[in-house]
Amino acid sequence: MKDVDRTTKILLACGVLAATIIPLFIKARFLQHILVMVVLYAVLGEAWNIIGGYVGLVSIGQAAFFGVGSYVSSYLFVEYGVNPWIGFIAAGLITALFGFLVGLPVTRLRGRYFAIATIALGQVMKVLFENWERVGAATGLMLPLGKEGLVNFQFHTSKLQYYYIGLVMLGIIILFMRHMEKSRLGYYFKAIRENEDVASAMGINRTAYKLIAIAISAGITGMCGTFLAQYSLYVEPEYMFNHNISVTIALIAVFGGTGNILGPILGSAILLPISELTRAWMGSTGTGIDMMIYGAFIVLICVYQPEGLMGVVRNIQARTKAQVQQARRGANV
Amino acid sequence: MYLQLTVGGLLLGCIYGLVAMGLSLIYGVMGIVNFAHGAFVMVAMYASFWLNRFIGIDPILSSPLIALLMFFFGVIVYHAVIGKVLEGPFLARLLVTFGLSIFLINCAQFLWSPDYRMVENPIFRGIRMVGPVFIEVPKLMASIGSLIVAGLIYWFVRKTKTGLAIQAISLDRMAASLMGIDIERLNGYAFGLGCACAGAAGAFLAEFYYIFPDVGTMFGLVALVAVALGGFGSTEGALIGAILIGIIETVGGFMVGSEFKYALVFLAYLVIVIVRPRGLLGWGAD
Amino acid sequence: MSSHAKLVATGVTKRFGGLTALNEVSFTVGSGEILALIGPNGAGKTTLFNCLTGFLKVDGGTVEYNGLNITNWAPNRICGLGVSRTFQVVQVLQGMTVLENVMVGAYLRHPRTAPARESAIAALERVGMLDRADALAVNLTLPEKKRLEVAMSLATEPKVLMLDESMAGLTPTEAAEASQMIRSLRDEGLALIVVEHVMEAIMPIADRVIVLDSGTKIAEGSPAEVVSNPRVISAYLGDKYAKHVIN
Repeated sequence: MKDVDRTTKILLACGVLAATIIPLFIKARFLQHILVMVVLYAVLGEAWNIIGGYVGLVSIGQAAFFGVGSYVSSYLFVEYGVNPWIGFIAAGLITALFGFLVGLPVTRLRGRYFAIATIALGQVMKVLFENWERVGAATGLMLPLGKEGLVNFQFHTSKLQYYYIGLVMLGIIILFMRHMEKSRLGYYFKAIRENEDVASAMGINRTAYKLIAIAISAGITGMCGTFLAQYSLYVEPEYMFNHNISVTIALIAVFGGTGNILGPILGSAILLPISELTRAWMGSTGTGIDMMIYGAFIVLICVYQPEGLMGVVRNIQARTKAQVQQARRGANV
Repeated sequence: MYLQLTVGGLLLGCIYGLVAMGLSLIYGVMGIVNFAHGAFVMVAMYASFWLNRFIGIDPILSSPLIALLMFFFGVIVYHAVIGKVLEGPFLARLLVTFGLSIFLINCAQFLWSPDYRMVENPIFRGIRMVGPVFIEVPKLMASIGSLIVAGLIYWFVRKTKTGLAIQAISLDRMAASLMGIDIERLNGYAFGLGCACAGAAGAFLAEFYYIFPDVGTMFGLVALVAVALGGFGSTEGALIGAILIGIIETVGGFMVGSEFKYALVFLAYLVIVIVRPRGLLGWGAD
Repeated sequence: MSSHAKLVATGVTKRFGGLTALNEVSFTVGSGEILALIGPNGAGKTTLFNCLTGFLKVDGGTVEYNGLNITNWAPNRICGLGVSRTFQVVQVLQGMTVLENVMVGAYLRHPRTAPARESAIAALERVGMLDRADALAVNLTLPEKKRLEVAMSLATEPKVLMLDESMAGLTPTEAAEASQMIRSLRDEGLALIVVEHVMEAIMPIADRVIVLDSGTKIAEGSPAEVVSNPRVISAYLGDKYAKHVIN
């Protein structure tokens, strides 16, 4: 068991090192773009994981939070010239509050009723923003070009800076989730997922903890919205509230495995390059064949890899462990 | 004016009802929330469009054929995909039909481009004055057709041997299989029937509605909301929910502006489900 | 023995549609006392537990804890006060380990992880399950799950503990151990309400017994009084068993 832990640690350290250094040598803008998307969706996947994986409330409407966050910072910037970093924090806070308010009624629902409610929420938000003249309705907002640099959260010559900002976000959320897993919050989240009646019998205020989870998840997702807004320098409802964002986030979690930290990162690292590459190779003609492949891919994952990649990893670990034990037993005899 | 709108909503609701019934049937029997249902409607709309273009059959007349084709399509989809995830985790069962939907919609876009199409020279057209209200003839025919098909399906499920076996599965899988019911085969039939509902509805819609790859998405979502409103697992509930939605959509859309009509439908879902977490007539676990 | 705790139910009534599951049930239980709750199947024992702990809303009557009216409070608040329960159909957190299960209970009084873990380990030791601490709850046998449930309840450090058929399925030796544990909990000053089918185990240690039949309390008293009560015998125990206990 200890050996397995040690290997995992070494592998993790190598992974972190690779994620930090290798991108420095990547000059092709498209590859840089893929890297940015990978870290962005890894963070989104982790945010989903808090509510979907730990508390067990499956959301297919994360785009609602994503979109709100992107609009908060963009509107503040366009209208009042507020620095995007302040907008970034504001997006996190306001979206968390939004998640909390939405959660008040919605967290009473369970299972598919909750899932469909989140879909409905995503659709409603999109329609509202498409018709809200103040924020540009269907055309959205263009973010004015400013001076390149960290202060303005804008980079024009390279996409790598975005990647590293995303990587820092990912690092922070991983640290947060590691802490959460080992604290009362994480235990209570899992208890609610496993059995709501037992959770209340153990003195857990389910509603409060579900609201905490949805607020944290929404807040992080909203900050990711700001990140994408700064990355593409425009926001519009069709782009920021797109239903496919919600589906992709949930899919990453399924593919990687839910309820653990590594799952969404693995899921994003494999899924996003595939989806971006098919889009680049086949999507430019607008024939839809890229999305066709993507759809087929979702079906294949659900049919052949429904436990997620972490399920595979765990199976292998269990098998090696059994083999090691068997070998030991053999040696003792 | 409101009478006019309510009648319009009622007609629309009947067509939604047929789509929703198929969705409810599939859910009731195998516990799958079929997010691809709208895409099935779309496939059926294209099928009727091409039948009309090449052979010249009117969509409403071709609806039995389309329903039959969609039945077989559904059986194939069940055995190729759905049957394989039934024992899988919740999330996989939820997302698999999303994938299917994205696949089908983009297949249509690849094969037939994103252009809007319309059936030329449908048999039924124009507007008639019935009493104090104007009624669009194709819509009227489509909703009558929907009610007939819904009635047929209802009869099939309640009265025939196969239908009763399907019902038995939805009540108690284990007991049904112990009694010698071939669950795999009947699940396939049930999924096929659900698709046939979507197929017939698609044919009816093709008579008067634009046809494009993404056309089904809203029908699917609206049907989903109807099923949730009625309560998952209740066929009658689905029909009632659908009619309610048809009316909310037309009357409410008129009152707050038609761009908000779907937002209104979803808001209605949120409100009703929050008051009654299992829908109007729902039963069973979450 | 810390503070004195007292749970008072007055005229608790619960109806399901036309069926009256509980009809004006009243009783009192205090620290250092074991109250056995018996009655035939469907008598309303579990329903009573659910009403006392907030899992079901009562249709009439009140529940008071140390003079505080806690009728229809949310289950988690009742647990927070120090009234804890186990479930008849065993309920544990399947996907978590035994220790994690108990820690969920322990976090109620110990928000930080290290003390919570210590307290959880103590609770596990108490029910004799420390050796299974790392097992997944889903892999436990039914009696083990029942013991785990007791440990989880204990970890919330209750003043009043309600056990719903915690001895079902235990071997005679295990049942004897369990009743020993229940007795020692009483001696530490807990108030216990015990629903039990294993009469041999519970009757000797109960201080008082109340008997429910069809939702109505038909008898209350010491074990000896109750088993000699003709109403109880006809309703539930039967002659053979009554003799067995008296002898």
